[in-house]
Amino acid sequence: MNVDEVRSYDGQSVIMTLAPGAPAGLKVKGQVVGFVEAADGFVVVLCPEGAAPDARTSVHYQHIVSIATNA
Amino acid sequence: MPDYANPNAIVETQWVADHHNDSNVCLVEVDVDTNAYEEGHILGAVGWNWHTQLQQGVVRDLITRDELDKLLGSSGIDPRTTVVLYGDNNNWFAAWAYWQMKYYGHVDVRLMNGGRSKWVAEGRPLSTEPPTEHLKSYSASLPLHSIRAMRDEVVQDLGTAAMVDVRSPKEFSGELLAPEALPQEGSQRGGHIPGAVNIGWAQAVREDGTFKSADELAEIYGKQGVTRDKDVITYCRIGERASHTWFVLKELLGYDNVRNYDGSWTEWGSSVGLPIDR
Repeated sequence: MNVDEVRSYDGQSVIMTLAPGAPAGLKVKGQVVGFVEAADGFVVVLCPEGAAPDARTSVHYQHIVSIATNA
Repeated sequence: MPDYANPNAIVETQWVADHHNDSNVCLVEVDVDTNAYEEGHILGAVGWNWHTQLQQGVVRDLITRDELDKLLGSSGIDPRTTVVLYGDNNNWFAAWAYWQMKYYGHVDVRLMNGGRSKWVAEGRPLSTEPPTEHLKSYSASLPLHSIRAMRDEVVQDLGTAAMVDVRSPKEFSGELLAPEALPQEGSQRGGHIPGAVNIGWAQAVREDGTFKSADELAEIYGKQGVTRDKDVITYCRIGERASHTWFVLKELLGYDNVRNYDGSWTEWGSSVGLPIDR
């Protein structure tokens, strides 16, 4: 999974499968609301499906196994 | 920020815009990229170089009390000054400087929420003008050892303290020795301290770099077993990302017993005979 591919989902509702050990769990659904970029990698910030509009879940891209639009 | 344990530990960018000229306020920029300050900083801010001014040049250690006294005094800071720290990479080294200032007992030190990138994203001005020089006299307190963990203390606390490894997933697994954008150097072995949980520093921030709410933060750390009733030790590679998480646990969540292991992975991963998990 490369950073550009993940970045292309900005603003979309997605479903992600995550590697074991990801703080968000093995699967997360939500809208991609932005990214945190730092020297140790790229973190996707989502508003989880069904959560309050200001709720946030963060996923380091190294934990992402797959990502797809959640139609 | 009424829901944080210590709401005075952070200020918003608007507060900085409103108060950066106050005589009792000193802004200090500390960046990962040590050239960033010269390229532009908040008007009046002093720049500290983490590499040459916040650690000793020969012995690997924090600067001494005498060195801190000189640095702060020459920056126009006295013991009553409100010091506001900010920097790039979501305040990594600003948080490290914050932790060092607390280690040496400065009372009123704060982080600018969101750091340099938020200030820039809001279209606020940067300046290349050097700050006006104000010399002050500073005398630091004795070091506050209760917020710092040394290697042998970490060894002693294996299996009892909650160890929080705040590095990226591939550093935690041992696949990388350093952040992926940096040279892969600094330790002889990859992996993590046995029993540590991997909660990357960025779990604590929103998309604009500001901190998540206290309730969200409590859930993130609590569900991994990092709770306020435990002795907690944070670590990363050289201690600056761990300072960010130390700040979250100590100042935003109010955990009583949180120490930053600034020797971190560059020390642990190179020490002969210490246990490592992968």
